[in-house]
Amino acid sequence: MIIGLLFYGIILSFLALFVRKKYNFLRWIIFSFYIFLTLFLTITIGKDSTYFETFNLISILNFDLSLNFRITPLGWLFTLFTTLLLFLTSIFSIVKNKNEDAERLINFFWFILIISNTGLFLADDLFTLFIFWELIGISSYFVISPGWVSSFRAVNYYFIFSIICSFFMFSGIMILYEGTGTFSIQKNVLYFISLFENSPLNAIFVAISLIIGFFVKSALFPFHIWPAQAHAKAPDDFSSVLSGIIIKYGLYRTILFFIPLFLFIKEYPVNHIMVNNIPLFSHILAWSGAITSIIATFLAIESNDMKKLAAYSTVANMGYITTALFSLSSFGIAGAIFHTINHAIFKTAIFLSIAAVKYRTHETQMHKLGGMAYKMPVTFLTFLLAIISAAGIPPLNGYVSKWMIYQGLLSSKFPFLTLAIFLSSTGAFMYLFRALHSIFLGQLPEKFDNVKEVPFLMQIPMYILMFLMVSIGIFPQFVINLINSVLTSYNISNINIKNSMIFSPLSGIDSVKVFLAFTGSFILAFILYLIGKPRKHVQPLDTYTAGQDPADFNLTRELYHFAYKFYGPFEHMFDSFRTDTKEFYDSIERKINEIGGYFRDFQSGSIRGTIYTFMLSFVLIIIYWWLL
Amino acid sequence: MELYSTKKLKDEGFEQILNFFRKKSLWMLHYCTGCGAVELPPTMTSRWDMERFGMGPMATPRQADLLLITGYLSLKSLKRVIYTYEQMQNPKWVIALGSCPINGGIYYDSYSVINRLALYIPVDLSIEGCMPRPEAIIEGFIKLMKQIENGEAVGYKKYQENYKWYKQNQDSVLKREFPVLSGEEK
Amino acid sequence: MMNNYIVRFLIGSLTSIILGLLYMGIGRKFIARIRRCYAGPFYQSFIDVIKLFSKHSISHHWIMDFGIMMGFSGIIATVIFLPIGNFYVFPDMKGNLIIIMYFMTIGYLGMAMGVSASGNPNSPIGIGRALALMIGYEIPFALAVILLIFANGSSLLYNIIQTQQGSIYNWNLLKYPFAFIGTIIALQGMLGEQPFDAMIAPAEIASGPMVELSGKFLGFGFLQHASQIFLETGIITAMFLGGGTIIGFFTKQLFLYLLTLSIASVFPRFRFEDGVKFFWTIPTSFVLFQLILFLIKR
Repeated sequence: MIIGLLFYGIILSFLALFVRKKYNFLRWIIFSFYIFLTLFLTITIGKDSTYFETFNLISILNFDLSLNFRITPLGWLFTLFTTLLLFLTSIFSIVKNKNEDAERLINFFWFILIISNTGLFLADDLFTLFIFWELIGISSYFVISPGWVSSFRAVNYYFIFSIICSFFMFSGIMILYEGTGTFSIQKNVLYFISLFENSPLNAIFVAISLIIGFFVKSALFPFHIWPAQAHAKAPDDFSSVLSGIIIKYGLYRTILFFIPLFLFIKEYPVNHIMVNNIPLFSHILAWSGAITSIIATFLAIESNDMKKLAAYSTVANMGYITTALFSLSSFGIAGAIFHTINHAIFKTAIFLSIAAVKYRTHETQMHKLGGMAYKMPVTFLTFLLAIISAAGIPPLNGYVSKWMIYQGLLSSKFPFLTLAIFLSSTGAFMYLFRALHSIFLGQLPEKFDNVKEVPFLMQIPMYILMFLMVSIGIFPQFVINLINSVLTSYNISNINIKNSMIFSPLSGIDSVKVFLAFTGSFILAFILYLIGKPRKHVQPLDTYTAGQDPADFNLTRELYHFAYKFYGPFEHMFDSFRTDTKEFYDSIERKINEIGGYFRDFQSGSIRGTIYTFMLSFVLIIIYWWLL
Repeated sequence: MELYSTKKLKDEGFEQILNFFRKKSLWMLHYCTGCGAVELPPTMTSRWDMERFGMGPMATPRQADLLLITGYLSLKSLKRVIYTYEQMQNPKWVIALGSCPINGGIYYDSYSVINRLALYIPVDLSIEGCMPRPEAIIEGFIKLMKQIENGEAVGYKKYQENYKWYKQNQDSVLKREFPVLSGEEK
Repeated sequence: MMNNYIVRFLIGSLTSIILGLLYMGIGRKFIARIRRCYAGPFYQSFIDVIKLFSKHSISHHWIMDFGIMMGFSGIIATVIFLPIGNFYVFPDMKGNLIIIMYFMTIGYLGMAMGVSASGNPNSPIGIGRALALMIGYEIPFALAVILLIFANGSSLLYNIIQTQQGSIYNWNLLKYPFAFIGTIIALQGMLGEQPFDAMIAPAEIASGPMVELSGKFLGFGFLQHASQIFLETGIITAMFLGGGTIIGFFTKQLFLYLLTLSIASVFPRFRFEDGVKFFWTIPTSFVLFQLILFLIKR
């Protein structure tokens, strides 16, 4: 069934290539239809872990290359929510891409992307995983930069990081293959664990080469810069996919390999360095997540481009997820997976509402916008709910997962990691409010007086996303039950949940009651509002201006919008630190340029140089092979 | 002047009950361009302690109930006063301090200072003196409170009722058609 | 059962509003006495609120109305989770600290959204200052919360109160004195009293967020501030002063509020970035010292 799905996907993608340019929307409708089909099949198959499929690709010299698919609870969960969000984004894209040029091939690459998405999460062996991993890298490369100069630099950034990442991943996979003689993920993970017992040096090399891919793809410190480039410059609808979904692939692979390993070490800690009852390596990873979240938060506070701000927010959220994941308690892991899903939902909502604003105004600098809420109420509401969710404020979905993350960190006694998360989530509130104010509130500039709400087809995904955010916030048990089955498959104790009441070692919450408390208070507020004397509407410029009539000093609404350098004095506090970091990165860039220049001279000089390079690398490979 | 209505606009019924609370919590916005402003700090601070009556200074016209005009008003500042008065929310009251807003005081023959504030915005209470001492100011506040309690301090209603008349007066000084010193003034 | 919850909800929310207003009135009298004057009666705040609701008001957009109501209801919803003496609205969630800390922010968000929609640049300036200060005082406060959660093995305020029962020597105030000092300084910032009142600075940015609030909107602001006083002093009472029965709880709250005011009435104002720096150094190091002591002892 899975192979059939992928195969039909390829056929449909070629079919869509031949659609006339006049009927552009048809191409995107085919695309949406295909994603819907995938979603439908994912739901019908169910999370039954015995389902297995194989497709023999080629078999040479005992080198059995076949595509194997298996449904695991984790893979199924990831497939489900990524497909759902891709479906919503594709509906948004139908209108958005109707009038764009050069998108015949982009549609094709979107197809490749969604096919690989399904393939990646359902893959049963490393070979299949790697193929789809690469396909995603390549297809997203073309989608980010459909021939635009502005995004070309950004996409190169992304592509180079992707290549580094897949190189390391491939070498890690090959070392594992050498040991097991098979690509099966389960066997390789077991071998990986045993490798840690037998030859730790080798194992650490494999671990590092596998983890580097994770660091790069999930933009952890010190690779936290590329999302701000790539996500900000990608087409608006694709940014939501990049930020909501593609950044999660590294995380998925890390859960596959490292969670069983660390849990094993945690259980049998002989011969291993343990810090606070978890392995040292895991502790370091948790800290890198925390540092990432803090740095990305402060970068987000500073950025003035709304897509950049959202991209840094994604990086910060990846930081929380990593920290929670590697705290290795059942609440931490469950919270991490739950936050991955929640983050995908609210980040898609944020990027879609940003895309809607940009669709109408063609502007991404926040200080040039303002007052969009008065013209685009649905977009505003989506953004509002999304930032409430992103800041982890009850009663929307973000708070359940953030609460679980805190329970995980606090119950396994990590004081400073918890503090880091506290710091960055308060910072999150700062930059999210800044975005809300600068884009949607304040004064509406005169040039946007004729802006209208986006077409109804674009509003549909927003309504669905709002519904998802509210309903998961009130009834988290539906998602937590799915996560519980993932935890069972890793032999971790389940989250204790009874209806909507979640019990943790430290406390318990009932999200229905949390919601009711808020609703009740709102009703009380509304009654008080009705009791008070009536209010009247006034013009936006009729504000307190110290007695001066705005018309007298040519005050326009655009001038009166306070958004530029919103946290100016606060940013000045970090001036010295910022210069140091910038100098550090600049010096690295200079070094890399130097080395690159050296190689360029070496190669383009003469054919002899090229041969020398080739021979040198050959010798290096032999030495490398020897050493292992 | 023929447009001015002298209808009785007394507060009645439920408003009378609310007036009890209104008089006990008068928040004021002081328009401090005149010399009367120097008498306000002692009135506010511990010597005379205005807060005993629930009064206090406020930052913006939106929050305030009481507009204090502390002395003479030039044409330029009259415009600001009117703008500020219109930004205040009902019910609202105006107190004019000193003789300048009553009859022009020592500026009675100036080309740029108005003589009688009550022509342009409704003044609920004038406290005469040049300048009135804090005791006199507090006496005036208590008198205003009594007026509010009786439902007689209804300047804001007069302003709504006779808006045309007030507007005409305002325009006659603010929108001059001739240069000020040309001698052809009406 | 539903009726039971509604009654409890009303008791909780109205208690917080009424007592918060009462504390405000007493606080005004207290400050006046420090300045050697008398101020109005202790019920002055009630008069103010009723007067504000009896005034007409303006709004620039429905978002302003919605935001102000959301701000008020956010704080009320947080109070619901606070133990009031030994009274709990939801018996199965007895003062969940993490939820309280996060629920408070919806109040700030609502208020911030409402006043931003008014379009006056003074309000976002004030909000920006308030949020920057928030990232300052949240650090010592969060550290104190982490310390107490570790010490009690529970994040419920109920359990934290329970371990402090018996005698005054069980109070966390005496067990963790440095943490208490840090938290008290953080409380000063939470309540927005001097020296951390840069966000309302009346002479500079015309009372900041409240600049466009009139009539009932300002009334909502008053009520929100009242419940906020009740909430924040209540949290610290439960955390450090042993909670107590109804009367004891209210007395301790009032004591904390008056302590804050007595600090406030002798201080000028910090620039807000200096305020953030101050929060990240002095109070944080107090609480951090206590936390490290605790971790070593364990």
